[in-house]
Amino acid sequence: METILAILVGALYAGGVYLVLRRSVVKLLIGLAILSHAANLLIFTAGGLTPRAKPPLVAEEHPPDAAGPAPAIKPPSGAAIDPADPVEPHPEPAGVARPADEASPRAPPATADPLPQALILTAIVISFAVLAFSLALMQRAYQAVGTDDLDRLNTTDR
Amino acid sequence: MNLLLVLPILIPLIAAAAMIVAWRWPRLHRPLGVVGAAGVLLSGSALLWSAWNGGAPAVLVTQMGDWPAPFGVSLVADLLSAIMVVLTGTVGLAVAVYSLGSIDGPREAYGYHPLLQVLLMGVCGAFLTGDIFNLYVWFEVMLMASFVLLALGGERSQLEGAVKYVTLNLIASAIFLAAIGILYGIAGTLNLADLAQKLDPARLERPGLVLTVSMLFLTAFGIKAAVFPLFFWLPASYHTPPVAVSALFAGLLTKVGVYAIIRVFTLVFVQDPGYTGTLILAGAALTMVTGVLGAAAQHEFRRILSFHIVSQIGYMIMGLGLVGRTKSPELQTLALAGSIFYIVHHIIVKTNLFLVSGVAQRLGGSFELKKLGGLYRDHPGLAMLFLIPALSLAGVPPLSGFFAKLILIQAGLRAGEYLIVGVALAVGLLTLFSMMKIWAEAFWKARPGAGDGEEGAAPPAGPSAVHRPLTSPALLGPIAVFAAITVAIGLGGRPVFSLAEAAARQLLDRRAYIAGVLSERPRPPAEPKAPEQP
Repeated sequence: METILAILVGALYAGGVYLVLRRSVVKLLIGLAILSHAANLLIFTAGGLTPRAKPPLVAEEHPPDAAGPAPAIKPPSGAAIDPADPVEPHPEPAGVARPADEASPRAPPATADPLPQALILTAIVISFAVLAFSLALMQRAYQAVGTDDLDRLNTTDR
Repeated sequence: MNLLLVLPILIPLIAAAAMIVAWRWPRLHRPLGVVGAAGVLLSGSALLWSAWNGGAPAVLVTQMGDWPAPFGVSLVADLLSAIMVVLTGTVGLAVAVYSLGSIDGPREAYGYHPLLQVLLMGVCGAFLTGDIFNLYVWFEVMLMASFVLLALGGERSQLEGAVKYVTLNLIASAIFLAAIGILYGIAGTLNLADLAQKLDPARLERPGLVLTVSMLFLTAFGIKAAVFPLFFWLPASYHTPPVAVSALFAGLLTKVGVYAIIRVFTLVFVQDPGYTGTLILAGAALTMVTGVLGAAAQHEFRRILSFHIVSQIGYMIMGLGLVGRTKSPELQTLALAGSIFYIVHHIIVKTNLFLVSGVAQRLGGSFELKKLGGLYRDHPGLAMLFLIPALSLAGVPPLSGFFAKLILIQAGLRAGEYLIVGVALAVGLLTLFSMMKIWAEAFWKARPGAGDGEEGAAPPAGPSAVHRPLTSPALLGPIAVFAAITVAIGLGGRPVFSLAEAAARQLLDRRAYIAGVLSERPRPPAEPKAPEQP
């Protein structure tokens, strides 16, 4: 799965860079959008794929007290891999020893890491806003300059 | 929870929100803008005072939402962050006051003042955050505000400049995001202090991968800081918006990139200092040379200044490069202190030069040096106010630029890096040439087309000169204050240097930062807390 996604991310980067280098303003914009998607997918892949893992929700063991339901905190280490899945290649992407789950010793060993998704969600929202702005900007620039050829947008460079 | 760390972000946010509530009354925006920027300056000063801690510099930490350190977002203020926030407030206040006399009605009606506050908020957030993904978010807040400020007004040159600025900054953001993703895959954390701990050179098994990611960060921050091969967006766009916006960008935005480079390469990416130091030093030399040569070829006031921003960025990262090239802690402190001193000096001087260029344009009717002239005869006071920051930029004693260059060159000589020292000195000379070109063309020579008679003395009335006076206290006040600061840093630079030295020492002492952030726990961690339900 990592291989497929890695190839896909590479293809997206290649396509994005190619489009950004084109002269047309519209292709430039599409290229920027593809680049941001590539970055998002890269975060997803690099954050570790854990297909069989459970979401990090921990069953309540204590009787509910004044603090309400108290599931343990899952540290965003992303290290948890299902040990019962021998087919899955070890997705540890680097040679750093990951710390053990210190904060929640009662957590089940195989939990998915929710943090990459949270990062991607934030990044998607930001890139959506920025691209919407760029679209409006490019349209205004097209109206003001009268061309969509980036090679003609050079009066400020001289 | 330390409120001081939140205030520099909160005050501009509240000011911007109040302005949006009062959207229909742009007149109300003006006092609110000044108050918001003054609030940043005051809260920043309080932060600096509290981080200085009477000579025993402290790392101030606040965990947002009371989450313990590596899990939530930490706000961290060491001396460098506090210094940068104070500078942000200073520049913000100067530009907010300058805007009162220079920004036209339509721009005010379309939200110029709230955008300025949002920009200040983004910059302060970037300086104060202790989390690398949060840094990305603050970068985006800052960029979004700067995009709109740059394009606001919709003149053709502005839109053309904005296309380049937006495109290259979006690519930088995409690279930054990708680097964050890979870094998270390696270390499993995003908190800078936690990253520094997990990627400690002694514990690392495969440092090559971390080095690769660090180069991605260098590229992303390098685009934002306008380092040598990545600076082309800056001279293409900085001369297009109104002068107040140019001055704000020139003072603050690239410096956020420099700050980010200094932060990550002193805290997190210290695995192979020799390699990164050499690379940064080479980048510094090339940045200085290309920037200053680009400026020498220009004949437009603000384009010359824009190229000089690029050139000066080289000096700022030169200190950081020297840190990696030398082993002696004393020398590392000196070099890094030189970088920080240079940033302080540069922000004040460069903002001031841009503000002066705006007044010169109002009086002479153009930014083109060919069309300017005679300003010294007509306005000797303004000429002096230009000369002080111009000579300071070139490094003439006893102004602030001389001491900034002196520290860096001293560090370079003691580290035995004669090549970079030679480049720095030669670039200083060429900077002086550029500044003298502006002086000779805009201030010294006679007004073109005026002949010898007096009839040419009346300035041509531009479209902006119809309703408002050409100069006013709002325009000249910030310029005079900044010139006074430049002279003050030059004549009494000892306290500033002590501050820069303490900040450098604090940056090089990674353990204090890590311990400061990770040990700052709002509650005893034994008690499990309830995460919010989705």
